[in-house]
Amino acid sequence: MVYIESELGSLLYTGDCRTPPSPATEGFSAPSSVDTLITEATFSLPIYRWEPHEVLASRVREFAEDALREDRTPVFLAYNLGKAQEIMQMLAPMDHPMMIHGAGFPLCEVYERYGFSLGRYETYRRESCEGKILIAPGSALGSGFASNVKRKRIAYCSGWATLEARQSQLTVDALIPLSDHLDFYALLEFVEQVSPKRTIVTHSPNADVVLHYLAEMGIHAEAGLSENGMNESELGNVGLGEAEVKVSENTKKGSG
Amino acid sequence: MEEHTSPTFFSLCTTLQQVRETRGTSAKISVCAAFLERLQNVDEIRLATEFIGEGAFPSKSGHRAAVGGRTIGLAASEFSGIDYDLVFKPSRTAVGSTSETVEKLMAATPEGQKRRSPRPIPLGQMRAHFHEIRTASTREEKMDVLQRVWRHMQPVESKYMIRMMGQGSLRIGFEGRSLIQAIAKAWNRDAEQVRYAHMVTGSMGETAVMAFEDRLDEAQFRLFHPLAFMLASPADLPEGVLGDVGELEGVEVTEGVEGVEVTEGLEGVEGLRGAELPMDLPYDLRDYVAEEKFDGMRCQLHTDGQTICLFSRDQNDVTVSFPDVCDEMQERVLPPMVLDGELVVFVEDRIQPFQMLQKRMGRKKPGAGTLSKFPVRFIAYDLLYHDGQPCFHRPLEERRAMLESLGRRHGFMVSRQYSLGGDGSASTRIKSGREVDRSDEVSMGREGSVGREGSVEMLRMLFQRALERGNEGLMLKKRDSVYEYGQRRRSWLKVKQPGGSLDTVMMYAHAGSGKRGGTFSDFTLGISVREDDRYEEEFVPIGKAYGGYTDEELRMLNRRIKELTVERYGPTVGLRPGIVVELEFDGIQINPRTKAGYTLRFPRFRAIRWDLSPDDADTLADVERLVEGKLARTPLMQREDGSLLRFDLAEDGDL
Repeated sequence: MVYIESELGSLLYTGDCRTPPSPATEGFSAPSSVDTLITEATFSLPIYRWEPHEVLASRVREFAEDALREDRTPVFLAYNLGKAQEIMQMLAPMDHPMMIHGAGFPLCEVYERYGFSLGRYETYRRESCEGKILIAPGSALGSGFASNVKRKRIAYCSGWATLEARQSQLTVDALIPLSDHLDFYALLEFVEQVSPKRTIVTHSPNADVVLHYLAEMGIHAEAGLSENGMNESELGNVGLGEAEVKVSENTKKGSG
Repeated sequence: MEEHTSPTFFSLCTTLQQVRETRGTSAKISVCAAFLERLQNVDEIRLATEFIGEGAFPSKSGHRAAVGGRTIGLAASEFSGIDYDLVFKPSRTAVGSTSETVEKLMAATPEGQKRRSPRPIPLGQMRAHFHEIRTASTREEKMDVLQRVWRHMQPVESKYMIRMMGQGSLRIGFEGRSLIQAIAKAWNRDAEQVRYAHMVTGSMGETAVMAFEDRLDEAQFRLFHPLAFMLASPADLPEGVLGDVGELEGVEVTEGVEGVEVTEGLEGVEGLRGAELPMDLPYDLRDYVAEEKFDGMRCQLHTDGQTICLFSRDQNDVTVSFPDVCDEMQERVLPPMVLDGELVVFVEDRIQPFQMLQKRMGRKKPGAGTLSKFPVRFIAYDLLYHDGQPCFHRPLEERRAMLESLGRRHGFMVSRQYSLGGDGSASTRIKSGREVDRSDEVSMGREGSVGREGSVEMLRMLFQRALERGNEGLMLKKRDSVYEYGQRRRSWLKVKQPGGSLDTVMMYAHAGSGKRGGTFSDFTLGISVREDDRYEEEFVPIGKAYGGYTDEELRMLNRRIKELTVERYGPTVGLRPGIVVELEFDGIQINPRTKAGYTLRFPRFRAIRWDLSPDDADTLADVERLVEGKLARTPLMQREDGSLLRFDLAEDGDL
């Protein structure tokens, strides 16, 4: 999140954010009002409302416990930065050994250094991963991650897991809608809270819908442009899981 | 999932959801069986199994809720306080399913939450609600009932309620056959007996009650109660097997397209003598017999010796539409029996195109003019009941022998069956038929079996002959198979010839439903009218296709569609011409209500022609030439070279 004040006024760029913030982050405190707000709106339809963190945390733990009870290796598909650590923090009370994808592992050490306890974990090793709780990005499965483990159960953790079609598209056992983004209602609330004079909505497959709701709240907003110069809302929500992952990872880099 | 002791609609829906989330057929069956087992009351058992297996109403009732997606969307938008066009439609596009969108809106929107105070809905009450919706006559009334019912529902109930009203699949990966298994498991009965009971009752509800009360042995076949129909699966023949015909057999287009299943490898396949024919058939053709596939309407004929009754594939009584068939069959003085077969328009020994039969379908009491212009006859191909006994559980070869002898004795038309080279017994007509048949050459004129390659050659020859005769292709039936409800993988296979193919340009892409939710998976394809004085535009739509591509191709298409998108209408985007698709189809229908004047029957992707540009697309003039060619071609007489056993002809009639 970036906040700029200058003689031209103040500007808040949200990047990807979420309210209430993940307990695996330091959170953020937005200014009480800004002149210009540039906000992400990835989940820009009223079908998206996240469940409270505790509910999701117990779903995550139950999934792992059920799988282990049935002698299956639980696998959580989640981005290496942020989501993976949030899940590990949820799982830490189980005190069961975890293994995280190689690219995510060094990031965990940073979390630990800043006082977040992520439980018992080590870096993924193919030959000894069976029976551990595994955490990896969705793309890893396609490149042989834990392919030696026959008996496993896979949970896809993402805001897109709201949509049932994802289960058969990705061939996973469970969908856990755990997101690092604002849900639709938190987005509207957030905009209202910082009461910007100018609002620009970006990274939205349905910017029109957000603009419609903001207009009803008396807030004028506009849609940001995507790379190809087309209003993103016109592209529609067409991505498969893969394409969506890409969008999110790009924005993650930007938001830091 | 928590335990639910009372069988409310909510507990049924949570079970369905659990079935959906469970992977593996036997695990799904266990979940369903555990629910059924808890039901103690006959009415509840009947209702629950009907809701799961048939929909809001029993299939036999013929009832339909008759509520469209738009009505549901409008009702849900009003209920959850959102704008239908601005908000519901894009939500539906993202989700890929109306029913799931409604579920999500109920759960997430403040209005949807506020207006609901869920309470238990007994299954009987739910059926009453379905009737209220069915009998409501206007859209407004239907919306009122929907909203009134939703007020007492959990989100998951609204989703399955909507799916049940479709009378189709609940989209939980659990079809009729699995429900039969679950019924058997719940009350510890023999699955074969359950299946039999369902065959003769045609009702999941009655079957389940019989299983519960341990009365399955009372399941009795009754004349004039239609039996469940056996259906064929696509034959999945590797490209090239059908030889010079040049076209791959048609991928059957079904809802929630899954593409063609890839066939397992086959051990011990011998190569063909020097030929490059693909031989990796997942089955041995010699286990099958072949019949020509007639371009007609599936029909089950019941008679008690006097009355004739005809049932369509959806088990509706269609007797009044076909008085000519009834008259003819009555003249034959048939004993009590049930025949499975095909209704076709039959003029001068030629089966006329399906379009002619359409003039007779759904028409009650056709006039004399229609009857003489489009005379319909019945071709029998299976025998399901005879001599006071159902015989559908007997092997095909036995049923066939009885059918042919009955046909000969009473003089009705029977399809001709050809052996594909296994032991000679089923190819009776090749040897004993009075019409000398070219297939003799292929069957080497002897009774012994031929090799695998011989069987493929016979298949190809029979297929080409079927096409020459104007028939759709072949039905392959396994010699030892019993007649069973639904699609029995590899018991019956259909080999169809595509009507042809056209290079078309993608004009619109539509976000799909179900499995392909959230992805553009349905496409409107157009042909070129650039040089056509009759049109202002460059392309006009000719068909909508939603199958025949691989997942990888679909991904590539979706990427390209993003680049070509120029306009957007709800779930649909308009495209600049840029993607050329070779479209394969079963036929061309004249349709004056469309811009082109024609629509394709069963269009599907044959190939995405990345190598072609829109300039290469076929034109409307090409389509017109194809249609004229087809109409001009005279189909060969059916009797000349043996697609039928013409027991109806005078010289055979008195045998």
